Amino acid sequence: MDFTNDILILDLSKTKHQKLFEYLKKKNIKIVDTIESQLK
Amino acid sequence: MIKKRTPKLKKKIKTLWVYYPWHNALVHVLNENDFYLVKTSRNQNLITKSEQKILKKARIGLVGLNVGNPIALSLVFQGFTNFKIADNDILELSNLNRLASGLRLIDLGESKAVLTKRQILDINPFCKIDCFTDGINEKNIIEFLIKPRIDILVEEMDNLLMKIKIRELAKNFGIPVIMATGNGPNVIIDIERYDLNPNIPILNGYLRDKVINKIKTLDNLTFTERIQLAKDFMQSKYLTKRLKESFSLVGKKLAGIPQIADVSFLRAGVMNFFIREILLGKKISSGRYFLNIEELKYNKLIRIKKL
Repeated sequence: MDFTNDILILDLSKTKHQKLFEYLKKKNIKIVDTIESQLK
Repeated sequence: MIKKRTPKLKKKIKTLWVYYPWHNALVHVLNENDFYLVKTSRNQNLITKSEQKILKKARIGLVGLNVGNPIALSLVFQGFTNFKIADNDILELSNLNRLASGLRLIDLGESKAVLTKRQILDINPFCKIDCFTDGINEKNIIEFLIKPRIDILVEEMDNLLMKIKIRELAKNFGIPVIMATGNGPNVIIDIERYDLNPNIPILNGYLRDKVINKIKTLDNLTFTERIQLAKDFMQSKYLTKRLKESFSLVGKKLAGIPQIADVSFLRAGVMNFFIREILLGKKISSGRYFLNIEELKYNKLIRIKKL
C-alpha cells in the first residue's frame, strides 16, 4: 500500500477499523460528513 | 409522492469512512452499493440498469494522461469503476492550458498518473485503479494489457514507437483500441476493433508500412525527422491549415504540437460516447471518424462523419 496515494476505507463495525478511525481523528484532520447530502 | 427519509431509515443503511491522505480528511460515505446507486441515479434511463452493470464491471486501459485525464474523469462520472492508467510524465506549467488535473498549481511536479488516480478516487473511492507511474514500456506492456485483461484500450501516448507496439499486442490479444486526436478545433477518432476482426491492419491501414518501419528505427532519427513522423502519423491531408503549419514551427517557435482545452474536453466527450457504445455491444465499426466542430459555424449542426 502507498500511504501517500492510497485511500483507506474504514468499516466501523470492525473493531480494528474503529481503533484506526479514533487514531486518525486525533491527528487534527478534516472530518467531512456527506451522508445527509448523499441521502437527499 | 416521494416519502421523506426518516432518521430511523438512515440508521439502517451501512456507511463507511474514507481517509484521503492527500486531503488529510476523513469522509463519511454510503456503502459501496448504495453509493453507486445514488451516484448513477441521474444516468437512468439514458443508461439502463443492465447497461450500467456492464459499464461498472468493464476494465478500461488508459495510456497517456494528457487527454487521458479528462477521458478518465468523465468515465468515472458515467459510472465506470475499473481502470488501468499509465503515464511516466509529471505535470508541468505548460500542461495547464488544457489538463483537468492541472487545475491546481500546487500539483506541479507531481506524476500525472498519481494525480489522475487521486482525482478518480475523489469522485468514487470504490474505484479499482492500477497505476503505472513509469508509463508503458517493454517490461510492463503485457501486464498492462492482460494481467488482468482490459476490455478496451484508450491510447493517447506521445511515444510513436509504443503507439505501434501496443497496437500490435492489442491486435494479438483481440483488445479494441480507440484514440482521439485534436485537429485544430476538430477531432479525429480512430477505432480499431481487434475484438471483432484481428486481421485489420494497425490504425486501419492509414499508417503505411514505410512510416511504421521508420518509427521502429526512431532512435536514429533527428528531432526534425521525429516531428515529420508525428505529422505522418496524423496524416497531413486530414489536418487543418494552422495545425499543418505548426508542425514546421515545433522546436523553433513552438514548444510542442499545439492543443487547446476545449478540444481536450471535446475529445473526452466523444471518446466517452464511443467507449460506452463499444462496451455495450453497439455497432461501431473500425475506421477513422471526424467530428468537425467548425461545421457548427456554417451549418449549426455537428456531424460525426465516417471516412
